[in-house]
Amino acid sequence: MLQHEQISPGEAEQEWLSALLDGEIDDVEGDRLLGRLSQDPALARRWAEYCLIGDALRGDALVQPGLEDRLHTALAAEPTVLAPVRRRSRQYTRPVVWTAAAAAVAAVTWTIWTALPEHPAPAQMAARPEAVMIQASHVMPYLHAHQDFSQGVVAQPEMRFTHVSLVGLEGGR
Amino acid sequence: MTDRDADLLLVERVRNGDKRAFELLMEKYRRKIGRLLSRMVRDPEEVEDIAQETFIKAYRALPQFRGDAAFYTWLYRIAVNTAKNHLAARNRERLTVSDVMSEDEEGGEDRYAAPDIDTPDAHLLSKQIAYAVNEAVEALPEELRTAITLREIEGMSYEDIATFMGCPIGTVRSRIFRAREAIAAKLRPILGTSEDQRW
Amino acid sequence: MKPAACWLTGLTTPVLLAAGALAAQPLPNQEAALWLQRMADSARRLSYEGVFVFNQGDVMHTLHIVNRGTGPLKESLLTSLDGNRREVICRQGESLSLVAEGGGVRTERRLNSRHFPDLLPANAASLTNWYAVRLGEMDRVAGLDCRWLQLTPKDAYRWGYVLCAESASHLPLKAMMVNEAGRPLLQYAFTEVRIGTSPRAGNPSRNLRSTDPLARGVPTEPVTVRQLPPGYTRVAAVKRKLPNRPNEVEHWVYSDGLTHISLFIEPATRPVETVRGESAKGMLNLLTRQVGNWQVTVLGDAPWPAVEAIATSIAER
Repeated sequence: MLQHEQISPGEAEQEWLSALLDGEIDDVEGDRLLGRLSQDPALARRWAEYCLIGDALRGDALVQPGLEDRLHTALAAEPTVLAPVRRRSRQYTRPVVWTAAAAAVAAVTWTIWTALPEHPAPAQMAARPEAVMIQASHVMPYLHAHQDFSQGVVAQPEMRFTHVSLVGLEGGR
Repeated sequence: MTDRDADLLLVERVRNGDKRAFELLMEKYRRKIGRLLSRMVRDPEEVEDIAQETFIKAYRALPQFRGDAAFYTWLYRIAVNTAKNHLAARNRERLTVSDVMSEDEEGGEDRYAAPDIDTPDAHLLSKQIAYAVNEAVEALPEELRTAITLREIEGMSYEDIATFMGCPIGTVRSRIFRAREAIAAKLRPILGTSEDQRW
Repeated sequence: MKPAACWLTGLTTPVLLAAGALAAQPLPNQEAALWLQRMADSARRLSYEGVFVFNQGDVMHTLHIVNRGTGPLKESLLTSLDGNRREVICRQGESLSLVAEGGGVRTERRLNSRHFPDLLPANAASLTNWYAVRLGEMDRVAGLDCRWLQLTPKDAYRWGYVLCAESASHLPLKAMMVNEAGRPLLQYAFTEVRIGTSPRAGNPSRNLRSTDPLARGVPTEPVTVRQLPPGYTRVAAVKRKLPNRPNEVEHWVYSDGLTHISLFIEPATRPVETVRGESAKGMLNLLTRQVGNWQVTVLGDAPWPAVEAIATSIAER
């Protein structure tokens, strides 16, 4: 870790609010910390700032004059909801069929390739470590054209790109 | 644990009688919901009405929320339904082919103009905030900028970010926290006392 | 007790089909084929009207659909209920979109327009070659009884699908594309639907054909794909313009009936870097590389091995 990466003990304690917003704290700790958050106006203010930052980065930074107060007032007027939940186990069991399918997957892949000796060995993908900044707009026209066939609703997923090199094919062809 | 699970923790607290926890949820999603609604409904006052109705409906319906769907997905559905009911009541016109293709149309009709969501002051403040946030992000050291971007825009988990950046999860957590603090510091002068007054 | 409304599962949790709820054994081919064919036919032949929600990652869209079923006048009209005002008229092999933008309306012609709930191919029975079909439990979606069906890929070259078909009509009410761990990648669900309604007398539809075709047949094929993953055949090959791009490219589409992988071929005007792309959760995969004097891009709603297999077996003719 570089010099300026060292964190003071006080800072480390304060990190939890940021991690809590991202859902990166375990349940037990999370519950306790939420308790603190509910009680402390300064912490709540910071929560609000962090939410605003995220919304602004995503292009949602609307100032909604009056809405904040309206919501607060309306909620205050509501009878308190009391419908306690027993904490469920958060272990989601993977359905049995999928485990079987996943195991079959690896076997079938290799079988396909080795059954065809007359073809050259499949190209290996070697990923170079640096990520490539490719404009999403570069890929959008392909995606739109592709979606003519795959699905009629146009969605614009976020994509990540990396340079790769192909080993085992002649001369970069 | 994911973003979605953090919401469930908040929901549990609300169901146990902690109203403030619902305030935290509203803070997290009110702009997102506002943006969704302002694309369906043009009148900014109506957007506010529907947003308020949405959140109150959600609060009242929380005992029926089973938690096997993401909270935001559930909230989104309530917002869309509430908006639809308002629109149905107003008997909204439908866009039709023949309307569009008719030669008489000048094309200057204001029917589809972008919704005017803010008062001039609010619009200005909104721009100031966006500008300040972007400026603050640009000024961040690269590793902090990457971390906050991957988290807030790409929606990656800490674990995925750690893999991507080649560092421990604890470092990711710290970088995101420090990025947020640096950006918040630049925001506070703009927000002034507006955030203080209620809390 | 299941709620009457339709809840979408969060995209970070696996499909919560309890182990006991699914028959352990896949259906025999004939029975599976029957189920799939009935579902495929119903989406095409029935008239229905409803609202559905589409969910992929953080993206959610709500759409209203009217489908006029039988005969040569089969046509569907989709209207977006959020985002920009957009209407799409779909007919066999093409569609016309009207999008409200700025101060006016933009029209967009698209090749084909596959949409929920019409997601299964016309020859749905052939899917049993590549997917194991299992019957699941009964459920209620949009207030109607329906039965779950799970399509598990038999190899690594395609994603899985889970569909819930309405009991009487077999119309898919809910459809999900899932990965090997059972996590939803993409999902559609009706929130309300009326099946068998005769659609209200609408305005006479504009003739979609125009003198300026969006695409034309392919006269030459500059490259060849030497090897395809099992089940994939070429279902389209056209020369066309890409949206928002001036150049013409060749666009080929491979499909196993459910999964679609596109191949784009255009002249390489300068050396092409080999680039791999993937979307969040790996649902969409892409590879661009140079083959001889051509730049080829393979892009599919398929796991990486399928895109890789096609992309690495392209050779100049």
